[in-house]
Amino acid sequence: MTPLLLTASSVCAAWAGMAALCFQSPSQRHRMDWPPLSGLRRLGFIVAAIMLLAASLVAAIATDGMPFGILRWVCQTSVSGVILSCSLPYSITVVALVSRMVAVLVPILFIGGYWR
Amino acid sequence: MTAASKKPKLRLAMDYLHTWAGVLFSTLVFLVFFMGTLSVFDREIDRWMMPVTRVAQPADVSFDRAARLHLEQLAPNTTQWYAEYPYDRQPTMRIGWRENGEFKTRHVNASTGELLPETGSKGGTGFFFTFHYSFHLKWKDIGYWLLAFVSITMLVLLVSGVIVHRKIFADFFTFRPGKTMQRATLDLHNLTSVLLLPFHFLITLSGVIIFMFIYMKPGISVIYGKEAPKAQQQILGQIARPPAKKPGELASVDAMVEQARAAWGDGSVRNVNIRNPQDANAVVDVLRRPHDRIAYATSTVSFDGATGNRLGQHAPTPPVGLLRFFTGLHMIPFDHWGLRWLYFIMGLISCVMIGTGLLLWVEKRRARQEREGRRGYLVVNAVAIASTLGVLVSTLAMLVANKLLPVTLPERATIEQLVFFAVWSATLIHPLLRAFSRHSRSDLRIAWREQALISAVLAISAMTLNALMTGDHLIRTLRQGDFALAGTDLMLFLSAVLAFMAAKRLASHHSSVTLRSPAIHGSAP
Repeated sequence: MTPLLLTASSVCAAWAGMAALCFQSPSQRHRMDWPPLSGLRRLGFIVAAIMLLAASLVAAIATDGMPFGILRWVCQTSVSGVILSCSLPYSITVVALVSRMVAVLVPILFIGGYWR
Repeated sequence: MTAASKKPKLRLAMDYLHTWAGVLFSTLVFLVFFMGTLSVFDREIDRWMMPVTRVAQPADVSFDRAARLHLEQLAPNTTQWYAEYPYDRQPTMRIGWRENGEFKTRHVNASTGELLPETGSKGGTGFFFTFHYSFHLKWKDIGYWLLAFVSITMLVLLVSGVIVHRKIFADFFTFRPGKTMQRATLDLHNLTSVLLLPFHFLITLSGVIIFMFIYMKPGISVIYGKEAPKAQQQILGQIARPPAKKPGELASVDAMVEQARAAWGDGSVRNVNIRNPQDANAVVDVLRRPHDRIAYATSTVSFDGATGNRLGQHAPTPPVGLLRFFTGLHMIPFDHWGLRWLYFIMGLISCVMIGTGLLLWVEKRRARQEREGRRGYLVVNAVAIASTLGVLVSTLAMLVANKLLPVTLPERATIEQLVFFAVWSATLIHPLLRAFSRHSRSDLRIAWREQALISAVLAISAMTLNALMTGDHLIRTLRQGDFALAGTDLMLFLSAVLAFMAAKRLASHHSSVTLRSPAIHGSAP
């Protein structure tokens, strides 16, 4: 296991999970001038968010052990949410692009970190 | 029917409670959070403020070689010796002893055994950390009781804030900086509160639990009576041993430390406490550093000081273990740089939460009070400036004074602290003068801007003075891998940049509020 890659995977998954939660919100999409989501697509976003946050937790525990992993996960998820929310009004395109990129990186970093 | 009377009674009551508890106690709450945030890196601030302690990490540590001789010379007749062993965040050995009811400390270079000169500063551990948990109020533990009151108020604010916030999930990520000042401030306040809710509950509740034994003192006195001092010893499982009142020679403490290490299996020493060191019944407690667990559970092995024989080993009982767990959650005794930085960032975000709450109160009342010719909001705005930016300005002023005050100045540490409090008072007088001057703006924008600029200048000055006075400039410290100093300088630089940006924004932002009404000042010019 490579702790650095697993940590990166955990942080990326936390960011991507919070981004998915943010982008499924009807009021948030309205503020960003994005079209509203159908019920099924919105559910898809929520399920994706839950899975990403779960992956983030698993990666954190795999790196730091149960108590430290859970503590770090709670802290990094909260901080990711704050940074995401504060940066969105200044560049929706960049934040959305970064969120998509880190979501793609999550499994790569996780697999790389676990098997190396 | 008014909008207020349409609200459910509970929400209305909680709104009232949240508003007024917030505005009355926000200064104290901000102080606790700001000083607590600085305390996350208190040892690193110590390195920055105390250049004499910038020594290399020792390869191995010996109490008998490094500390014993100095303690025998400095404190021959005391009831307690103490030696905190070096570790990665603190390269020196800190020795301490009890003298006239106070605890005195000095630093030792553990590699050479050299007693380092007096630091002339309280540093991060002695000033910012102490401010965080006791406001430097020592008389009858009043600082601890004030902290308890502030902590309970914070919990009340958290619970009432959740009840008041109707659309807590819909507004989870809402931040609209382009809207009016009041709307943007409310969004930021909600965002920083809700997203960090677990941290706020955790840190506040654990903060109250840590000082459980102080808050239980009245109850312990009732139950234990004259035996009250023994209560804590019994609860914590310490080995009690009264002094023999006969002189005794202390055996090799290093040998005892080796026995303790063998008993633990792994781990390093946090500190050695020696009770009645020159007595025949001396007790040596060797405490393990809790670097690998959340709980601040220091497994202790106790020895007979005269013979070096082991008296016992104690680990916390389950109730004490729970106390230690909450203590560890709050004080981060473990080795985890990621978590340490996350706590620091969350502490800063909490300061934003408190500051925006205070600003919100001012903004909501400014227009109405201006029309009515009332001045209350001006005073609160001035207090808001002093409570938030003012604390930052006075902290930076203290860091500048730390570099400018001569090292040989008597009572240097006290003068450094006086600089903090003097500048803090000035940061209150300044906006009050601005508030009641003839040509002021009702939102005190100029006072905010001026203090932001002052903090930027002070931060850069502190960084520059450190480089000039000690030679440890940022490039050198980064190259040497001295991240305690480099990190402090980088944070100073970042705070200067942010303060300058804030000052620029305050200068360029067009307020929608008109100049203050002539009704406040009397006749129009």
